[in-house]
Amino acid sequence: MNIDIDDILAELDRDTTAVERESSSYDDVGNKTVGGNGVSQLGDVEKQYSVQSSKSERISDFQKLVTQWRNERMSPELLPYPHELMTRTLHRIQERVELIETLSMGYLEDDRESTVDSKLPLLCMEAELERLKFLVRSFIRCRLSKIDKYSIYLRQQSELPENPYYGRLDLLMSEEEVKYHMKHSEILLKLFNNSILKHLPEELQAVNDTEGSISMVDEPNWHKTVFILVCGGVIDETGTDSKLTTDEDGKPCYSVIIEDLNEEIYLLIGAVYVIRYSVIKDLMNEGRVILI
Amino acid sequence: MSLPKNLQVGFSPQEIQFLIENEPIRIMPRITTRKTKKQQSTDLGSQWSLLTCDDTAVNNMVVMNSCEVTIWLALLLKQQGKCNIIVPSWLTLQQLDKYLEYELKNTSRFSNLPWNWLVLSTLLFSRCSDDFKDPVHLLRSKIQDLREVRLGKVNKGLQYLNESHLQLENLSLMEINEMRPYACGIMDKLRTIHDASNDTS
Repeated sequence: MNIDIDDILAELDRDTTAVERESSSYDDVGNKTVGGNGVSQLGDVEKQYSVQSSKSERISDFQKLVTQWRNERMSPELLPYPHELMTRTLHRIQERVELIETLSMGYLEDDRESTVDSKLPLLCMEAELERLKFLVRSFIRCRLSKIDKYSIYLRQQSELPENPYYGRLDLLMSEEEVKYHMKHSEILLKLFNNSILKHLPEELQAVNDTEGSISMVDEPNWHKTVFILVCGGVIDETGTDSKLTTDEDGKPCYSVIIEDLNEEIYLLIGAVYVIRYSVIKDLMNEGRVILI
Repeated sequence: MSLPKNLQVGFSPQEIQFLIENEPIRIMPRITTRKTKKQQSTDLGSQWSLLTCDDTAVNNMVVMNSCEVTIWLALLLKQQGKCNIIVPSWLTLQQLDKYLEYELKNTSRFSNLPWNWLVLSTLLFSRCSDDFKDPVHLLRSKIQDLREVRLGKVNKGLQYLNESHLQLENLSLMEINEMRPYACGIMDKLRTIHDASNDTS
């Protein structure tokens, strides 16, 4: 007779890791909060993270940032800015720069026993800092280029009252990005006005005309083809993944429907697909698939 | 614009390498960083503390005891002559032969090489060619063979591009990135044509 004791063993395992779990339970859904509390919390977050953050949290933050970067690079639209994640990351970069400076000052003082060995950690820390900085820079630059491209569209959306993301530009973008968006479109408008638009008849002077033969507002190409990796593993409030179904072979997968073609597709966990963005947009925002 | 044109359609090969350098690999350290209790109290400055990856492994290195670190760190240590990299088990002549055999036998499928095989093998060949047990030039030619067989299959697979979707199995990140601009462009155009024909009918 075989007695299955897997669940008992799992329970024992849980006890030893309980502490670690608790400290890393800080979830990064701040960018999804609708309404006023999203931004006002930022100040508190900064205070909270001046205290030393735990190791597992730092690592998972880095992984989240990598995922955010990949999604941002490949998605056609501007994704919501991960406010809390970026605050934490920027804070850590700052701390790290200071730490490296202090450490290297210490090395200057007692150079009699500083061998190559003792400089190795410093070398690695610097290399790591450069890698992290590259990631942040590339992420921001990518966002800026999208803000350039969709500036009229973003402005239009922010004037619609009912849209939760676009209604609040400060939820979609960081403070500096909002500033950039406003100033840049202003400068561009001035250039167009002075050079060409003022010579045109009055009814042709608008830069956001959608009535004419071609719409002047550049909207993201919602149906752009993207490559995705289905990662799954998101556990929601029901305790399991409620969107998960099984296909004919009994493998776990998500089912999505392409409306134009009336076609149902099963996305197997762990597989790579080439698919249009509009279909998997929601799954991506929930972290169930990532763009690659 | 703030992002160069060539980076807007996909990742550059260097960025793919960057992503893959964040994955773990096993090394044989040639230095000891594990401290006895007494040492720990005297010098705290030369402790490693890393932001993006687990630093317990590098703080507990003992000479010739294998441990797992991220690839970029392993390459850095290797450059300084402080470690030997343990070559992953799929990167041996025997294993590669098996993969190649599979590739040749199944003309419609890709073998399940790890998803970083192309980048990792190139990196390891150039940066730690002395750590391989098998002769590197033979491994290199095997990798080249694999690459060519797979490229042929990718080209053949392009005829199945359609307006709805495509499932790819066992393609590596680098191979995906290479076919991305072409495949996305074609599928976008096919979709536009399809949509337009639906609108008029």
